[in-house]
Amino acid sequence: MVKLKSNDDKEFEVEEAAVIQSEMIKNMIEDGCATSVIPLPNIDSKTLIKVIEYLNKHINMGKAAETGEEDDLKEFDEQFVNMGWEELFDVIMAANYLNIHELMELCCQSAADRLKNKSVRAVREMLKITNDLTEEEEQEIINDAPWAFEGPEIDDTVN
Amino acid sequence: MSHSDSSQSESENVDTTYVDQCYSTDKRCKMDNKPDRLSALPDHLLRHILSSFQMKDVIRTGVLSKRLLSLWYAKLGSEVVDAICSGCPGLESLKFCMCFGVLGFHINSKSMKKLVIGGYWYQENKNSDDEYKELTICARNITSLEINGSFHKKLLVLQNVQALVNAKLYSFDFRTSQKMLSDLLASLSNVEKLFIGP
Repeated sequence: MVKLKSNDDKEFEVEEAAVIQSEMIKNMIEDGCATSVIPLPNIDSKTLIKVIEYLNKHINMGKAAETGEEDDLKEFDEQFVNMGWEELFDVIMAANYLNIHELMELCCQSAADRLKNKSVRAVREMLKITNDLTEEEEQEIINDAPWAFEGPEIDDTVN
Repeated sequence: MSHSDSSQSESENVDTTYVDQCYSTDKRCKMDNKPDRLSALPDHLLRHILSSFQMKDVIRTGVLSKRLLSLWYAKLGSEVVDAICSGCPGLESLKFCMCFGVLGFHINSKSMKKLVIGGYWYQENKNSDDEYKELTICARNITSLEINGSFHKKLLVLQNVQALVNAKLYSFDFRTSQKMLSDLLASLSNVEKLFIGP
């Protein structure tokens, strides 16, 4: 078992087989630096819980492929990324820090899918982006490529 | 087997109790200092998310804010340069002037013999991280290389330039880093004809 500590001082025990999906921790274990608790100063406990949930589920990924449980894992992944934006970004940053490639790809893809075909207004509202471009600057970009701003697929709803 | 199962479910129980505890504190601190949800993400992660976008989606993101506009330039810049570098197998000589938003020049073409890099466009961006401070030139078959102009804060790095015979560095602003110049000269150790001038 490997002990991880979040930045709000909560400790979690994770099986080594699960936790070495993180390249960072795998390297630490290989270098003999993981004998006691591993502090993770960039990750809060709420995010760490999500990451551990993912690691535990994916621990048997090799086995799943053999026994036809792949669909199960796909379903888990779909459910897993069903979270709010802030939580999703927290998990992306944690996955980047811990270097868990698959988790990073999964979450970035989810973020991209949510933004695809969304109107400028919808994205701004979803991500609470403050527009710091002047009206002229904005219009200039739109005039350069008006085709990118119109079309039946552009979705103005926020969800 | 049964042992590992029971310990796993035990830790899951512990996890769920924590969830309720942390939500409240977390929400509070986020409402205080994170009005813009993207501001927490560094550029390279944002770029990763945008990397799967089609061009139409990328262009729309350019209108969102100045930060996204500069990322959008970077994507356009590197896509165009990559397309030229990889899509013109017969090209022998190539000159880039005042490029912007390019992470590096990676030229694998066997026919390409001469490369000229004329400066780098400077754009002030407070939000930009320093991840891509380096501008790499990786060109294994180039025999002649010219570098001139100002590169502002960019650090030029040469990689795999063992085929180089002629190198010319002029009107070249390297005051930002003496080490960059010495590293450049070290990578030019095989060159037969070297010109450094005003």
